[in-house]
Amino acid sequence: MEIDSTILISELQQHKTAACQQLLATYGPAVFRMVQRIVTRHEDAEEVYQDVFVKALRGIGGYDPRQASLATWLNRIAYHEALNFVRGQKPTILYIDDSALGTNLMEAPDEAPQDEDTIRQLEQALAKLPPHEQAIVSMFYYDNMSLADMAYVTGANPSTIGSQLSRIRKKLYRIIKSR
Amino acid sequence: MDSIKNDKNLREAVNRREQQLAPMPADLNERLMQRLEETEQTRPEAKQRHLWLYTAIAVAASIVLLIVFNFGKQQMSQEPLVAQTVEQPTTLVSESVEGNPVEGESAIEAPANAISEPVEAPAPQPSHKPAKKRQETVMQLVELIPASEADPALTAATDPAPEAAANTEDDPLVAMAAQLEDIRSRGQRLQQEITALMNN
Repeated sequence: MEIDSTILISELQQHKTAACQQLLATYGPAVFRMVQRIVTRHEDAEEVYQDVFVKALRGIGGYDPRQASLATWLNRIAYHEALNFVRGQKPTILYIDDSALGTNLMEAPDEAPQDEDTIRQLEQALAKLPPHEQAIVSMFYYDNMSLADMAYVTGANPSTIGSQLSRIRKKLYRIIKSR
Repeated sequence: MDSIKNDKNLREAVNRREQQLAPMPADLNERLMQRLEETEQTRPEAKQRHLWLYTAIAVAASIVLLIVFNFGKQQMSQEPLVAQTVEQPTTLVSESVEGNPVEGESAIEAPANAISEPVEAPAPQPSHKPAKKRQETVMQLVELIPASEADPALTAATDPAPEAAANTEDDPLVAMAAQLEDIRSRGQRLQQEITALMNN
């Protein structure tokens, strides 16, 4: 896999069409998913997706395989491109802020049995999180990314990502309980 | 960290949300490839356009530099000539005449002494009057000097050539220089007349 990606990268640097197609086929769906987590409108997500790969192919010369895998590197571009797009738009949705929630409410349970009602409520609560927090939760629980990779994608420290995850989780349970 | 990882409810909620996301359109990669090919095709044209632009800017800049350099050079070659012609007589005549405005004999003598000085090329003396005012005073005093009654040979020797007179109309500095030359010749004639009177 590593050898494959090395060949792919060198071919991408030579602007080979076949390499571009392979890159899109291999990493495209994951990148589109990352974009969609932050950019909710489908047409906008498609536009951002294209921008991500245009940027990635232009900057392929600057990619360092020792820092992160190609997938993580692409996710990093997608995360920032999508956030930049959202920040450039006029804010139409209001997200729940930490300060709006009471601090005396119940904290997140350590290990709760799987409960259909809680899952549904959490699903609704997830929709109220700001885009970058939704992306962090999805990277951790859905993509099973390591904290180091998540830190690379977001541009933060791994320890900061850990505390951020903990805070987001508590926030989700507070949203549920505040209803 | 384990408690976060083992949160089955949250993991399931996230999974369900991810399932709800719309799948990637099948033709999206094709459209992207088209866009990339178009970008590749247009890139050389853009490069060439930029090259033309940079060349045009470089040519324009060099022309401007050439003009500025030539203009500066011309000014530098003209400036000392003007300084010579303007500075010397102005200071001397104004100071010498204004120095003794009332006394009869000394008033006549003073200009004679003063006018003789340009031959020795004295150092310019500091004056508190503004240059323009000083120049006006000189012009007024020059008007007071009687027109030449001296030997026409002298006049012929000092008068500027007709070609030069034609040129004075073009350049104000040259005109001023010619005027000052005229002042100087009148002064010389006056000196000669005074000397002749003294001898008689």
